Amino acid sequence: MIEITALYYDGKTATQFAVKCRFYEQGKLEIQGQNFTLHYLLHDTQISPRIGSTCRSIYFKDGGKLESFANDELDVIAQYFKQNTYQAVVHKLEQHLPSAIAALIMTGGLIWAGIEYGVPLLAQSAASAVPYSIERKIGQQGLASLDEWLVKPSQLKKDRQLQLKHTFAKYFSQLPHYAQYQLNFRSSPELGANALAFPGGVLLITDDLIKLAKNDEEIIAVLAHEIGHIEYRHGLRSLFQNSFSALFMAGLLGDISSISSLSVTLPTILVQTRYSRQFELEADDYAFAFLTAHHIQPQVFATLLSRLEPNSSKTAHTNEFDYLSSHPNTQERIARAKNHAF
Amino acid sequence: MNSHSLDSTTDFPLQFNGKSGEFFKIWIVNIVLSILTLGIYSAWAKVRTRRYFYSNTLLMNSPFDYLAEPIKILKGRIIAFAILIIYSISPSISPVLQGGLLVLFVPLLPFIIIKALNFNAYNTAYHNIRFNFKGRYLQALWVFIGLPFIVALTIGLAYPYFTRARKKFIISNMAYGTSSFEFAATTGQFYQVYLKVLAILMALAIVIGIFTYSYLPSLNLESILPDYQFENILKLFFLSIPTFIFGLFLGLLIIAIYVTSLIIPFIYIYTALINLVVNQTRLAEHHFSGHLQFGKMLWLSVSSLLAIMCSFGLMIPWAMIRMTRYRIESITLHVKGNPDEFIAAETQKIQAIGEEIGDIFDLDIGL
Repeated sequence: MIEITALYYDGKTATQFAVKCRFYEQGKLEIQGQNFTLHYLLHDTQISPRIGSTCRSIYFKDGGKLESFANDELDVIAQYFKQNTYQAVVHKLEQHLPSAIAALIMTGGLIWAGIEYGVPLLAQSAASAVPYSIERKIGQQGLASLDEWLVKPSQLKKDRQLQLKHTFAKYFSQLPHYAQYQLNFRSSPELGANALAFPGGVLLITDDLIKLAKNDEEIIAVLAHEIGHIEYRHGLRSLFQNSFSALFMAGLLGDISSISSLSVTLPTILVQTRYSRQFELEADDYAFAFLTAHHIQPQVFATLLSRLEPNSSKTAHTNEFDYLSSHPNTQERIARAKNHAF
Repeated sequence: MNSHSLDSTTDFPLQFNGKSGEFFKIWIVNIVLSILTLGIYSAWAKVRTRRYFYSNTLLMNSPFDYLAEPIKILKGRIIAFAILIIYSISPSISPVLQGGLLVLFVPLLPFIIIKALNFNAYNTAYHNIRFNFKGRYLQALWVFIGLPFIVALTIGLAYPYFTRARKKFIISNMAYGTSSFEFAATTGQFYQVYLKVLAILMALAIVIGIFTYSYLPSLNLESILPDYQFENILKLFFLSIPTFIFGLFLGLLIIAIYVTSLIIPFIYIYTALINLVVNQTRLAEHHFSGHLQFGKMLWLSVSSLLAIMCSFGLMIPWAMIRMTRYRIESITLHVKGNPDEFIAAETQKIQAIGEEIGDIFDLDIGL
């Protein structure tokens, strides 16, 4: 038998009664007030879990309730009658300073692992579950919306377009997914010299880039980079990775309802630009391997990159802003290309 | 007991007993378990956090109680998660689909707001009596969908009216047991708050204006800097140390001015509105008073923000506890007549209210 003092509410009124409660091993509970005695069965009651040093509640089926600070006694009772077993473990963790410190270190590790491996892995498996027809539709949708807002039809002569398509076929026709690739020419002052890859094999190259290239090998190098994006399904993966990382950060830093607040948005942007840089480097590596296999110096890619960014010598000094950029530092990419030279 | 005549009032300040050391451990264990369980535990984490804050909030030495069941919160979160995924992927399938989802969402929003307010009210209890919320759909449709349109049409002039309508909708539909809350603030009082903010903003604009147009040229900046290009400024910083220190000082000053010009109006509106709302809220014949101070609030917010940033978030529990303590302890309940009867008076009228409340809507709708 355990006796505690508590406050009793009958569930119909807000009136407080100071009472003595006696818990019996057979599962009976006797509540002794100033001028009343009540009997309850413990399997009809619910003892609230212990949280810090706050007051505990015992709820009865009839709406009545006890409030008591006798936390240690209630722990014994809850354990004896097998109530809130799991949350008792949580409370033990919370009480124990070393476990709080361990939790702290684990949090750091888990955040890192979640960002580095968890989210990308989850995104990859989600992406591989998407059928090709939908991926293709997403890519065409992307090109269609660009056609509406940002790009105009190409000014390039028809025979030059045909010639480039021929070169494209010459280099890429051995690829297993060659049939899916579709090369599109567009002109766009906003995009400048640029090439884009959409999910499902839709490629876009701007007139400015073709003009900027000194020879067709440079164009092939850029297209190999874009095809790298497609072969690794970067489009779909970044789609999933970005929404998963937003949710991961929201779960970490607040509730789902706070997903738009700055404290969540800022770290999310940092994580997402990091993923984007990783994808660019992966596509670079694909291009280097492809070029090497076709006896083109990977440095061809670097030459075009440095021409794309004429003042890259200046930007090379702004390393401290690299973590905000969606693309890796150009100097770093050029150096990587040189390392792949044969 | 006899000393309380019918007309006398007794003051009961709200009290908050949360301790940051104790809450830190709860908070960090919550985060770890939430990550380890891929977010599933976050529902239990939320209830533990809420229970900690509610049980440490005392009125007349009695705590509040949070009664939500984690499993129901979890269900709501899974649904919200699914909707969010669908919504964020929809534009890549078809922009029309996303538009369609948005159109669907508009008539649903007032419903969700009512359910969320109901969820939070119904799961809050004091002296074993639950709060409840009885807002109607059409009211909510007008306040949360209709009024924002009017605010846009009037280029924001109706905004204070919109704020008042929101607070009135939330408070006057709230009840403790069977006693309803009443909200007496007038639209004029809300306009006063925003007009004062406008005055503060104007004063700040004048200060910044004077600084930029008279102070800066008097330092003869143009003669130092041939043009205001960033590289030139950078070069200058490194060329001469005194200029660098001056520039650093100038930069910090400019940042400080812009940051304060954002934070000051925000904190001012926040404190003034909370005080106004609390002062104009009645529960039966009892009333509340709020005495948040702008300066104290500003200090607490800025220092909390700095502490959180410098500690990489580890001071979040400390900041939560001290902000909550200040906000809660700034509220006093003035009970008319005998304080023992304040609670006893609710007794005869309590009736069971619907249990069919949407359990899944645990969104926090800010007052």
